[in-house]
Amino acid sequence: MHIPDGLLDTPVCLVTGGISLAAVGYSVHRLKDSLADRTVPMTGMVAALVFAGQMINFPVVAGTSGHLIGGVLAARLLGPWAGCLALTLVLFVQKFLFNDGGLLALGPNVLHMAVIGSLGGYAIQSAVARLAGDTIRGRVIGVVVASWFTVMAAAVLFSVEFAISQATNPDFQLGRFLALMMLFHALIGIGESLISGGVIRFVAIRRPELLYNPPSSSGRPWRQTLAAGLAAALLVALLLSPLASSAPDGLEAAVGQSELPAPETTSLSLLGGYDQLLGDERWETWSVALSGLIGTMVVFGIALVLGRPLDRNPIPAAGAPRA
Amino acid sequence: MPDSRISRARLVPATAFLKLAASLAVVLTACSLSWDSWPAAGALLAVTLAAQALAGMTLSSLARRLALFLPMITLVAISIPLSQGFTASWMQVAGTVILRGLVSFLAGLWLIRVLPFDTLVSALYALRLPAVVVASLAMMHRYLFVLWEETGRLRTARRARCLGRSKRITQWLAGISMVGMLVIRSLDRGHRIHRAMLARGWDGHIRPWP
Repeated sequence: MHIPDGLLDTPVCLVTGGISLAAVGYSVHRLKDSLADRTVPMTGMVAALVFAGQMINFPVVAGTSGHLIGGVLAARLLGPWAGCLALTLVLFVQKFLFNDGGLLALGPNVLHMAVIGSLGGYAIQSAVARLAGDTIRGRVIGVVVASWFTVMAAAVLFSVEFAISQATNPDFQLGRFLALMMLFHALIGIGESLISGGVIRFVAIRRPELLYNPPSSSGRPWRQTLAAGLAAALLVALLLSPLASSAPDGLEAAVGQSELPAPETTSLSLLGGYDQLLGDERWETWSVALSGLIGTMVVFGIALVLGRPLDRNPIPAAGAPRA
Repeated sequence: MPDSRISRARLVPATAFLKLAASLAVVLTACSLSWDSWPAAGALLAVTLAAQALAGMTLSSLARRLALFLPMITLVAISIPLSQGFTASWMQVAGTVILRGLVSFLAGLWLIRVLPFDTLVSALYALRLPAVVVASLAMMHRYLFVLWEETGRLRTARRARCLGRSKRITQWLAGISMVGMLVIRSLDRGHRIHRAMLARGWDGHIRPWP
């Protein structure tokens, strides 16, 4: 879901916007090295594809439905740099054609879905594909794992940004908010890995040559992507930390809250019942641990099911005749 | 044609930049509002509502959009006390989020109403965004509607093959194969367009608009 305006503080939006701008700018710079004449039509087409793909609903429970996010999928089809640009364009069009998401919040939205989704997602799926072998099967497993982790990483990052925005609210505790967000996003992540993994499996069986093949001349692109992802993560930490330290009340309380007794108002909380349910342990600790454990197991299962019956042959080179 | 700022900016009416700046200013002001500054918030809300009327937004259209937006922002706002407990200030905290979100949403609604998307694309080009980004954006805007129709064809074909309500797992499998088919068709279409562009002299170099 897109972050609307008003949820995050303006400085947080500006900092995340700056990081997004740097990451997307670097992606555009890297695109100049690749096949330039294909970049424009294919990026435009995949951006439109992700947009149209998001319109296809998947029923969940009680009339609610979910849809594809598409960062990892775009990176698998176009590579990390064009994938990041394509997702940025999707978010831009959603804002300026349909008023979906915020204007100032475009910065964090691009960071969470385009930068983490495509650059981070590509780094994860490449690393997994190297472990599982660079075959069609390895790629499907890579997409499943990357989809789950990018959704969870975005949820954690959003919770931290929100905690910084709520620094003036003495009652706000990061741990509790993080637990709620991670619990929801563990489910969203499972949906995303099912859809992305299923779609890549569908395409890989029928038209494997359509998947992105990193150019062999550029050395080890997954290492470069990993390095770029790490640099972006460090940049986020560096640039967000002054905002956090300028408002120590909220964040220090949030970070140190695991030792603090529960606030007296907990009895009013809808989730207060979990305290009794889970004994002395705080519900948020259990919730984070549980969402991590269940999520990892389910994603492992999805990877096994979606990856298993596929052949282990290497991907045919682009342009190679199909059997 | 020299690729200068003047030649780029000439494409775009100056009001486009003013509209963008006005919308940004309202969002920035809205995001600094709090529950205590309700007179200012009320005034800003009145201004954004009046702007809708001036932009020719009908009441039913506005109501339809708010009916989609308000439950969403309320859900987001409620997630704060839901995770933190309903403390003494929960209504102020949630109310501030809804207030800021609503004013910003109305400002955004006004902007998309008064600023056509192709003017916005030209404005981005005038603002010196890389040509590859602007051209990809223009391309995406064009193919959005083509792929929307493609999705409609896939839906019709599915409805024609499947009668009645299907199980949830069948709906998921059908959805996945629908997105997968969309991927194959749109990438093929992208390759065809690329070849057609090459046949017309495209060399990957974007020349400035005349």
